[in-house]
Amino acid sequence: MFVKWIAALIVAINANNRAGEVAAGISFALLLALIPGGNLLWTVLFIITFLLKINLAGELLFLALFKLLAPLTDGLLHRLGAWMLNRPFLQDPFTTAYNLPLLPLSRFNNTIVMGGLIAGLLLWIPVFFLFRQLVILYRRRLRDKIAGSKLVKALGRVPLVASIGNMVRKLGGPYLTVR
Amino acid sequence: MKVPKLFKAELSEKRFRKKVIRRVYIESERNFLLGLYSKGADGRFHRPEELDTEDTKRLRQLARSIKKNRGVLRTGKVSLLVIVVAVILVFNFVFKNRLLEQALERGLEGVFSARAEVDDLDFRILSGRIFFAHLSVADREQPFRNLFELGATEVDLNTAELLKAKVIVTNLESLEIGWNTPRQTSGAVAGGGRGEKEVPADREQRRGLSLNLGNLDAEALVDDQMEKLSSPAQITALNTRLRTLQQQWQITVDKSRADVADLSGHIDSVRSIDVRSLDTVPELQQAVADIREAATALDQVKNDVEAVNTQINADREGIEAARSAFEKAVDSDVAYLASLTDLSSGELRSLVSDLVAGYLEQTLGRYYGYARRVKGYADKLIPGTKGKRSDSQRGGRMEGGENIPFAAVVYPRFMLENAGVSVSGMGTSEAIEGSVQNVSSDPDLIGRPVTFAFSRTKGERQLSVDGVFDRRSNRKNDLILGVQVANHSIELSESLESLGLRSLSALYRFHTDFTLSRQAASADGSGVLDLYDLSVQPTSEQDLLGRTLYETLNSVAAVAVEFDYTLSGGGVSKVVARSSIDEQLSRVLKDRVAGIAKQYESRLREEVSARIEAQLEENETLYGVFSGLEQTSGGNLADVNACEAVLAQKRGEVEKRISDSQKQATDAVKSELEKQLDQIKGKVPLPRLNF
Repeated sequence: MFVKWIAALIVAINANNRAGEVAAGISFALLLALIPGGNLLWTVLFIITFLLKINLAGELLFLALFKLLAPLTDGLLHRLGAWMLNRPFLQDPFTTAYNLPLLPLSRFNNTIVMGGLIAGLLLWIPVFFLFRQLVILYRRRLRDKIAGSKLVKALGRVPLVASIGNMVRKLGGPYLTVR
Repeated sequence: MKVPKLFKAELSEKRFRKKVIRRVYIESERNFLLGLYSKGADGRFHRPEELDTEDTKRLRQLARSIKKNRGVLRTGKVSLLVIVVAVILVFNFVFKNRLLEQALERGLEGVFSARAEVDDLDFRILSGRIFFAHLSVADREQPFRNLFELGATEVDLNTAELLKAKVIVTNLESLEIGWNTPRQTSGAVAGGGRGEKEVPADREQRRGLSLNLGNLDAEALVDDQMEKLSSPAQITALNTRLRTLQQQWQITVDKSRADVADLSGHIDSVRSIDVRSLDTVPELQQAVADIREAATALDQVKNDVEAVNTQINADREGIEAARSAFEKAVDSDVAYLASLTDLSSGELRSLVSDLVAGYLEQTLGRYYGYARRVKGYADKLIPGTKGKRSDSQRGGRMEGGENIPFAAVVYPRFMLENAGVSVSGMGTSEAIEGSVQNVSSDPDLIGRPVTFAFSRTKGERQLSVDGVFDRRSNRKNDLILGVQVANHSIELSESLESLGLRSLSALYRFHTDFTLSRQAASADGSGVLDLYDLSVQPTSEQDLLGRTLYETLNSVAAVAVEFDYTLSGGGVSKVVARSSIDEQLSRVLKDRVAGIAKQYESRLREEVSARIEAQLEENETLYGVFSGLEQTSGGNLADVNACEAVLAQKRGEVEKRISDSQKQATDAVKSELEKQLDQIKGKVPLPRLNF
């Protein structure tokens, strides 16, 4: 599965796709990784990403990666969420939200959920632009060079890379061939 | 191969830049297009009309990717989602009511352990209302009867809470209600089980009572108890003793009689002595000798007769004592037999109270049964906490955080805030009103107990029940129930025969309160039952008890019965009742029972006597014979005494005659001697006669 996701991500980076699709996928992966699972908020966000034209392979790949690292940020997220949830001026809206149907199922009153949401939203835009720019730079400066390099050809003989390459060729078609 | 429409042979600069070049993100592809299209003099971009296969193929791939890059939504997946939502909505509209009907039926069956049916349910999601035309829940203990049924009913739901998977019924109103109605099909469900009605083991069977003398079967009782009576054995023993004594004394007394007869011969010879004619000494000596002989015979006979008489008298006293003991034994037997039929009136002291207590046991037991069933239903409604995960127990990273509590109304999984039923009119005088509040699956959460009230009025008859059912933790009592009944009628006809009554009917007012303790699993209560307009029919005029009850109950305007009771296990374990006429009835009954007891004892005595009639007759005969012997013996003694008197008299006469003769002789001799003495002066002494 990971091989497929890696292959699909490589295809997406090299194919005629918007760079923002990959960047948005990675940004959403960060957002979903920062928010603990098992609540309605996470589920809704995850479903939304499936409906948007973003790179799902990149999202899932980076989600798996970020999820491994997310617990390291829990302390910070807890403080951030607690700070937000305890803002006096937000008590009324939060109380109202807490009494609305379904919204409590989002567990927004949990400090880590709230902290993860805030941090994820705040980081979404910079991460998006960062990765978008990286993809653009890659396509502009490295794509063609890497594709024809001896290093890539040598790596292509490594079994794992070879299988990724085969998958990429299957998924990506002509964009993986240097013209 | 055909070139895609996007890459027409001629494109405006605006279209070429905006729709094509802008959507190509790969530098090499963009250069390919810029190389393929060239800007003409007219400002439009042109490509060669004829393209080789490779270029055409490349353009097709580009067109595909450009098309794919349009927009931000995945139309395919959005469409799929729309279709899924649409299917859910259609499914909801088509099957919603049926599914909810089934869910409601399963839920009710889970709570009541019996078949439940809901008809024509209509659920309006947006308004949060449920209507159903009919709902019935079977009685698990009587599968062919309904525990209750509701007619057209409207249920208001809290839609917001419904989205949280919580069923909060804010109001339930029904215009028809029925209970214990018959069913066409069995309402039993698998695993529901039919509750066994528990019968208190210590409930005593009321002993049969009857004060109708005709109903007291003395004959049968004596027959039944004959072996336990002592008088028959005693009379038999007495007769045996009499028979022995008779045989023994008959010979002795006859012998004494003969001796006395012999003696009489001697006495007659003595009596025949003419003392005045005894002039000579020999004659006197003969008379004296006869008297001596007779005296000797008399002494012997007298001694024998006196001894016999003394002994026969002693035996007679023994017989008298035995007869006296026998009579006491008969008295004792009669008393024993009478005791087997309690005519002491002691048990009748609280007759009315006991009679009412029986009725109360049934009535209170019924209410207690309802209360226990409600408790059982509530226990099923309130789930255990075992295995239930609270929010704070959920795993994951959220555990590391903190749940900030915001003020909110937290509802339990199920709650019925208010339910009301009101049925009235419709051509009858019956009106039913009922309400229940705060039924919930988590009473501790809502912090309120279930309260309920029910009233039923039919004409003058009224029944109202109200109470508090509290399943919150740390509470002493589960249920506090009050029941008031007015103008209801009580009609008893069964089990009254033993009281000498054919029927008893009355109107009554009744109120009671009882509290079902959680720890003791029992209920204690008290109440008052007022009986009025009493009508009593005795079984017969001869039945004293029935007549007394009839007269006493008809003489009072009302009877108030105060009662205390304990309910436990399967029903009423104890009822203590005190009626206002207990004392009056007891007094009258005491007098009357004493009279009938006397008559009954007399009958028992007759029956016992009849059983030993032969022995009694024999006893009389034997006693008569024995008395005859005793009289004979007495007669013998009297005869002996008479003989003795005759002998004494005759002896006296003879002695006097001798004395006189001596004196005459003495005087004559004296005179002669004096003459001769004078003549011979003491030469010849005179002979002396001594007796």
